[in-house]
Amino acid sequence: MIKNIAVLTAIFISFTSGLGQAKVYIDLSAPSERRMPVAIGEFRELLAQGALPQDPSGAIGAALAQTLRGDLVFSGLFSIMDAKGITEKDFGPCRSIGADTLVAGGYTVDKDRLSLEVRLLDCVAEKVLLYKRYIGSTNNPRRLIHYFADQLYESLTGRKGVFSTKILFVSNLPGNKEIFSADYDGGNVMQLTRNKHINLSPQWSPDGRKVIYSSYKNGEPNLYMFDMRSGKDARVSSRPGINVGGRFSPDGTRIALTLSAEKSPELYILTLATGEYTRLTDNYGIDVSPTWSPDGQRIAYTSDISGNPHIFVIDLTTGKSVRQTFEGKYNSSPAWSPDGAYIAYARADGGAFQIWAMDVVTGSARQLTFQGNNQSPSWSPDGRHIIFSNSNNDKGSLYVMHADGTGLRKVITGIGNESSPAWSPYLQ
Amino acid sequence: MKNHYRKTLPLIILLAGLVGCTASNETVIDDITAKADSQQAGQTASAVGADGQPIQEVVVPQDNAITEDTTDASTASAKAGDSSADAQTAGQDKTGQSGEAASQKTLYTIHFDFDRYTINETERGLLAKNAAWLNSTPRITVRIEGHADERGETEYNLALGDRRASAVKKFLQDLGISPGRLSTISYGEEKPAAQGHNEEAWAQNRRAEFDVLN
Repeated sequence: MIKNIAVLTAIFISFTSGLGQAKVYIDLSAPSERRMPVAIGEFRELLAQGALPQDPSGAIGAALAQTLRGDLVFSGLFSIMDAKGITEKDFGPCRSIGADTLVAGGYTVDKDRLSLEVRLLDCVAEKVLLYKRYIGSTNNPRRLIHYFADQLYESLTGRKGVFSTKILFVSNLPGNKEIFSADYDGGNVMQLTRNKHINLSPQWSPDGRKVIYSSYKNGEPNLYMFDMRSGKDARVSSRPGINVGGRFSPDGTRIALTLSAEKSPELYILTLATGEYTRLTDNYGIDVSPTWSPDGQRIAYTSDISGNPHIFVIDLTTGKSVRQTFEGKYNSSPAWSPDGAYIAYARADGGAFQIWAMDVVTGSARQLTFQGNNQSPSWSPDGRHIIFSNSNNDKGSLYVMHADGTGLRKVITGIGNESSPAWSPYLQ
Repeated sequence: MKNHYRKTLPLIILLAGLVGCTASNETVIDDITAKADSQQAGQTASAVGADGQPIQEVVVPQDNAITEDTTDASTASAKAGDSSADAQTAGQDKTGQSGEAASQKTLYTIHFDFDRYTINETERGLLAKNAAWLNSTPRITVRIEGHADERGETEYNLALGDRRASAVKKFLQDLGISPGRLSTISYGEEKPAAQGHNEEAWAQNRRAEFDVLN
């Protein structure tokens, strides 16, 4: 019997190593200055003997390579090497251009169906790390390669990639503020609301399937929930006064929000199953913009109870609130990081707002942006990036940066005048 | 022997599970912003790549451009329309409104300091005139709209507008106006009266204005 167990254990080991979990190529817990050199080969249309190309201009292939390049550069972990003409068999040429790894792929087009075959190769060990086929639509080749980029990232770092995540944002380009979604990099924009009224503060449900937002579409600022799959839209809170700033609890069963139905704008928790409201704050000031700690035990928010807007944290068990910020004239829009360690927020000392991040344990804060007027930070689900809004008088735009403030870049959605970004949870 | 089986059974089940997972080389991705796609029917047949090697196959469903179902949400209140803009412009013409309260054509807009919702001395005088006019026109009901300037956070500004409208309502109640004639709404920074990005414009936008409902 002992012998049997030994055999089974051996099979178990061979299975796990076969799944490719043995080697971590990039250790995110030990950040290094060195970027891993990845060669991106050409994506060619694969044709059967004598068949006519369906993508004669190579536009799909170019979009695939460009999107993958964008994803990998965005992560800040890779340096990209051009490997035109190098195929999945060419380990030698791959090494000779100085790359450790190579991505090579091909695709077939059948009407609007796009099938992409792509490999990730370790050029040094001459090993295939990933060999995947993605089947999707020719309308959106970017989507297929984002999925692959997630797999690549995970196989090299051991952590989930964020390349298939999305953002929500507001733009008044249609003439009024409507809510949009886009890929994390600003591509593939979709307009979610078209009610021609004011729509504000979109936020994701923890499963990424629903969006809550405040809207004046029935006259008053009420809170709505929009189902991304069915398009079904329902009013979730319509107390007298404002119903704004809704944020789902991490388990998705409750929504923290601000209501002014009683004496002043206070924080409440709405339990979705019962429709019951529980008041969290009780003062004559303004309490807004709740953000849950990832364990659901605490909520950070903005309050003017001490004279100016400052960040506070309320413990949901004890009901006790503790002020967190003591500097700056205006601290607002707190966002709790996915690992629970930081609260990002916007701080103004009189003029423009900048993004800061506070260590939740020590309370020490660090300024992350230094130019322009920046607000509404939102974390990527892996906590490695922050998206925020930048406003320059009439013009609004979105920017992303690494969580330490480096790697700043504009998010181009093509819509214009964007604000109030919210980064999705992992969507796959 | 029986005992041995008992010990190894969980391991066997675990391995069977692993074998089951790895044998099906195809992952079906469930997309969040897409309706159910006919392609993602949950098939798990193993696949072969172009060169005959085993390949992991992933079906990536389309992003469907779904927009909100507005069928039950299109009953937007006409009150929230832009007609208030005219009333507000007239209301700001304070110099031309020096006559009797009863001859006042409209109600004065009340202005606030940055990030404040207390009503200062000069504005109290204007509110007293508004109260007098409301006393002389007992059938009129009004909605008080609270606004903020563009600086600061969207949600904070909505709360600030709410506080300003409530402060004005409370003041008028204290002057004897029935609360039943006074409703409030906040537009935060969403409906500026002046479009500029300087103190002059901001000062005009930090306001509570009156919308006569009937």
